[in-house]
Amino acid sequence: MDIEPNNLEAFLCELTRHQRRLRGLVRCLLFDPRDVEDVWQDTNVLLLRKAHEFQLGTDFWAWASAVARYQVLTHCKLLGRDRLAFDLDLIAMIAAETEQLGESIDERRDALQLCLEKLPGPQRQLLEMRYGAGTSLEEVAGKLERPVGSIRQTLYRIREALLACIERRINLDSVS
Amino acid sequence: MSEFLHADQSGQDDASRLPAEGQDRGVTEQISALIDGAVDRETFQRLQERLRQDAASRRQFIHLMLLDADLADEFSTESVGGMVDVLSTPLPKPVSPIQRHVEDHSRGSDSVRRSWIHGGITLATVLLVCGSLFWWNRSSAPPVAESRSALAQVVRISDSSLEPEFRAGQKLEAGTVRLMSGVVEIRIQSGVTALLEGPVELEILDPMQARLVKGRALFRVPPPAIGFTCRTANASVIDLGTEFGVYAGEESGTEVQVYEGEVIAGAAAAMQQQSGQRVQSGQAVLIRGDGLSEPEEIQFLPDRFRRYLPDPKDPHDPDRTSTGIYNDAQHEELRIVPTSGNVVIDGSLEDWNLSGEFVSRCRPPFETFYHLRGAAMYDDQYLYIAANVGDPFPMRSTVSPHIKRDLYGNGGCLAFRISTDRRMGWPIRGLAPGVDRNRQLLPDDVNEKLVFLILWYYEPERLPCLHVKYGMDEHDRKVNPPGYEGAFRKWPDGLGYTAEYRIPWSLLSAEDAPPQAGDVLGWTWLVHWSGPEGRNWKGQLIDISNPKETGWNFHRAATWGKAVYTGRNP
Repeated sequence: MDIEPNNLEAFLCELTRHQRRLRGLVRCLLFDPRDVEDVWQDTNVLLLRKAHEFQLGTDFWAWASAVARYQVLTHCKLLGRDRLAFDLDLIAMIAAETEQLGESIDERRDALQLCLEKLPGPQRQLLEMRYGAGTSLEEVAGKLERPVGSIRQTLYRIREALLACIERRINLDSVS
Repeated sequence: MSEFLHADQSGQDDASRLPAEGQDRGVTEQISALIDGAVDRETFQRLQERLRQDAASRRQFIHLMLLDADLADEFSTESVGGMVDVLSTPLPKPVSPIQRHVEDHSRGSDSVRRSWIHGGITLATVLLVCGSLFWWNRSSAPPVAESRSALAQVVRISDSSLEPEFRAGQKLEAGTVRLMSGVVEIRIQSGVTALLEGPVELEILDPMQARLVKGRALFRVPPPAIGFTCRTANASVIDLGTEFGVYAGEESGTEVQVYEGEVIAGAAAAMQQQSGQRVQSGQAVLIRGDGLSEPEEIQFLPDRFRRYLPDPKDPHDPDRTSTGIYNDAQHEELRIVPTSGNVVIDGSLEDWNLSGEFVSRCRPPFETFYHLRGAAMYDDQYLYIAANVGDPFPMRSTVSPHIKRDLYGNGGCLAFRISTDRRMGWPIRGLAPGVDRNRQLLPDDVNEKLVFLILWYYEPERLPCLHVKYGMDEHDRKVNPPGYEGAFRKWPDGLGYTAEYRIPWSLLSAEDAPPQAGDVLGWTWLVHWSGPEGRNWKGQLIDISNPKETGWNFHRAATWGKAVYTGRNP
């Protein structure tokens, strides 16, 4: 089966450039990291299959995020009742607001890089433990021989501090 | 408050300051707990209502989830034996057309580079060399020279005594990897892993391009590196997010085989004109050396490329030897016996008539841990299937039935190719599309009664699953359709599982004429094994086959063995 020859390369560039945003969008809508990975991958496959429908020069993010949102909604309909998932109307609301962030998603990530550089070593180590191998809260607590609640509280404070740092960075950039 | 927050604080680190006044800590704390999987349903419902009502809370939620995605991306690694930070070094100046295009179109090259760089961290990396003789760019640089602008890295070496100047973690500059024998896996800066099987020469041109001079290489490409291109003397292969193998023969041309996802492959000249052919999972093509021909579909051979490397700590790992998990089919027929009373689908076979049971084992040295005892029964309404499967990593599949896929068996499964066509009898007729390019599809090829079944246990939901495909062309598919029952039970020693299924004939297109005693129809039995992660295919067993036929069961139904439906007293 032949592909659309025109602009394939440019399409792949757009797809590559938007990978992080797409993953972030899916993360905003699903809670189980495995679901996020599955839907993210599935979205990529679908985008590639629909490549011929995309008109270069139009808004790739608008198009791709709509596909991702559709994939999430389809996925949520299939989730069992025992799984935590937002109601579909709230998913649509959050998706729309995330999509509107557009490039600021990339800006936030850039700001995070700087914030992480400033993060004290022990806090960074905890993040590495938590995210390094998808380690669960319980496993982290076990390794550190600390109560789960304490680890959860610490992670909350680190995230809160990082969010505040990101906001400050973005505000600094906007006034400089 | 934890020492994690206080330790190393100088009061100057803006990342560790307390949040700005006015932020709603309650919501933030709940969202953080949600991220960590630590909220109960009641709290979740309260949070959901809050988010629905309050735009500021939604904004906070979105920012936190984006942060979580970025942190996962920043820190995560699935590498075995520890993460090696090949990705911390700066990228060399991009040279590929794709990269140039990205840089031209992005807000700035940094964000694109970062997406490639950090995407690599999420890629699972398992590396081992099997008796390898490996050197790096001997002609232009000392083989052990560390590079400040590393383009790739050796992650692990099994037998460094053979080539002592190389070591795990060694960074590699742009240049040619030559491997005389054995297997090595390297990771390129873009996150792409390349599994090289000697004798092979691979030139890494930049993070998104490599040139296979000769030999075999298997590439795994994470989403951020989509567009990665492997060139050979006569062909190009552009990845579309996948796992694929390339063989560059000196005269025979280039073979491309796709295990997962898809690629675009074609003769070099055609690809320069942005023309090529999609090659999808389960397909293989040959691009002849004349540089002019269209890619020709060739037979997909699972073991055409080496896909996995062993974990020396795992005594059951099939890759500890140079042979894979395979078997030699030992049986031509399966005797399918009538049920003997009520059968409860619970993973116990005490209520089974096992007189038709057969045993099949993989080749040494895997026969101890990888084997099958299979049996089947029938009645007027149902087909019953039972299997005792030796499997060091039983019932671990994380392949979700909720996501539409072509293949669901990568995480370990039972699979069957069955004919319920009583008029056809045996041997079975039917070809998959493309097997004979000069032949149109025939009614036998699209016969609804030629059915492919995949049975697997979806571990996250502890769900016995069923995937049904109809016809050799697989024109219709169903996942977990109503009507079947399944049960899995892990063996007490953890080295295998028992599976038991009851599938209505209606799902097998045989409700009009279910098999009767005396029928001889078609059947092939497959077992697929995965690794400990329940995601990656490791090997397979195929039995009940027609010894007079060659080829693949998914290409040619004539290869299927016999299903002999017996009477009451076989």
